[in-house]
Amino acid sequence: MPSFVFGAITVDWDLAARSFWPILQGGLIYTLPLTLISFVFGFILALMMALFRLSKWAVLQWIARIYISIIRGTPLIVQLAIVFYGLPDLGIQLSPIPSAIIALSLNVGGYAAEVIRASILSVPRGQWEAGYTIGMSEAQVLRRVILPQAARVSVPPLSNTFISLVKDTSLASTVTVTELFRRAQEITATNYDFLLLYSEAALIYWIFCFFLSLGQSWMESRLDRYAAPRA
Amino acid sequence: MLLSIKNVHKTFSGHEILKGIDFSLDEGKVLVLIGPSGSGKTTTLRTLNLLEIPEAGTLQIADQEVVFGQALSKKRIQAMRRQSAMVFQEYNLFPHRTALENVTEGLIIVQKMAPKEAQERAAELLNKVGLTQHLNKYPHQLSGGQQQRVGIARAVALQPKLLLFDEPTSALDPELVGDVLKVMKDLAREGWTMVVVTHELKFAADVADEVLFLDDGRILERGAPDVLLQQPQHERTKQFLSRILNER
Ligand SMILES: Nc1ncnc2c1ncn2[C@@H]1O[C@H](COP(=O)(O)OP(=O)(O)OP(=O)(O)O)[C@@H](O)[C@H]1O
Ligand SMILES: [Mg+2]
Repeated sequence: MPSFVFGAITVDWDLAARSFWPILQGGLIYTLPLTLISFVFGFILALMMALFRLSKWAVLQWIARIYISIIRGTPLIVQLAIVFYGLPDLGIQLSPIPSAIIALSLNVGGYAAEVIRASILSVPRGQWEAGYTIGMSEAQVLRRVILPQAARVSVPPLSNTFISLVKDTSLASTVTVTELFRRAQEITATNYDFLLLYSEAALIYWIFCFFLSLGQSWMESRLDRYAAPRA
Repeated sequence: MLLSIKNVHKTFSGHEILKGIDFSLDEGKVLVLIGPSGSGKTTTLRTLNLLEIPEAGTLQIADQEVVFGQALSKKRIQAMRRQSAMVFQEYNLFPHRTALENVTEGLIIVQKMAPKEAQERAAELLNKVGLTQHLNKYPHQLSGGQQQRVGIARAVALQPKLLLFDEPTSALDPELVGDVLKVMKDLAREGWTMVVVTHELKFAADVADEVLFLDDGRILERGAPDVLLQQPQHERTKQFLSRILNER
């Protein structure tokens, strides 16, 4: 077995090569889909909560406030544990992946709601009035005038949320989802080569995030074609 | 009478800003509102489009009437609002839509016109305000004067009973003011009923049928432009007019 001594550290290239694919596979079949699905659900939830927060009805405002406060005030790992290990006590038994999707979506919903709310508020009041003066209803102004402009403002912060989510899916390992990090962990159980295997995991996360941030830049420049650069 | 507004009172955070506004306007006439900063011109104009809802008074435009101080359903507000359309000081064009789309938006979304027909109507109007070359440009690619002419086309396209202008030229560089005023003069000549807040006294003298001088939430003086602008009765009006003339 070819080994390379680096000070006290020995790099086992053969193990690195053998373990790379299983770890990457954990990323491709669990980490990325989990990220994508949770983000979509979380985004829809966040949009709803942002609109609740902005609504005239106090009940809706409070529902959103309490939800956002709970999500932001508790660790994701605890939220995951409640869904996967806690809910069975109420007779709700969920498999690891649905549990992870539910907890991650709820989490994204709480954080993205504030981002979306802020971006809606960042659209000048004159835009609402321009919509009203041409006879639009509130819902029409929101859909046709405000949200498209809010979307541009919210791309950078929502991209951050998305990229954080890629990394946060590693916590799904605590509810037995064999995603990227747990794959690496499982291999260490037979090899004890922690530094190598976890570095490999880190490298793959970094590659994922790198490509996603390229996607973010592309999206921003696409949206910029429609509007002057913001001051 | 196309427009009539009676005894309108509006309070903002404890301060009474409109202290009983009354006026009316016949179809095809142009009314100009002048007055010092903070006198309530914008608030009065916005009331006509229900962008502000006063506490008391009545507003009638064409066959629609609302009584303020009573609960108003969204439907009633929308129906009244569609009687008029506002041209804003800061244009307020939709930045994510082209000049053409800014004008078709209300036609397609509100008036449910077929897109093709809406585009034809919009192109025709933009042509009329001198923007034939700029149909597919986004607002940020246009000068202030061009943007404001899109704003006017957007309001006119809907064929409201009443056009409202809130200092439409005061955000413009001086050399761009003329084009916008010319478009407004053309509209007046075509018979549009208009209420215009402006400090362009020459425009008022040429186009207005009546001029109102607002001061501290009241109409202090009103009259035909040659009378009110040439021989104002009140000291406040005289001061205001001479201040404007000296600024030029
Ligand atoms: N939304 C608001 N909240 C609180 N005060 C307001 C609001 N809108 C207007 N005001 C106040 O009402 C008064 C009249 O405002 P308005 O904009 O109608 O004046 P104006 O005659 O149009 O003045 P200007 O020539 O400066 O445009 C001002 O003192 C202004 O501060
Ligand atoms: Mg004003």
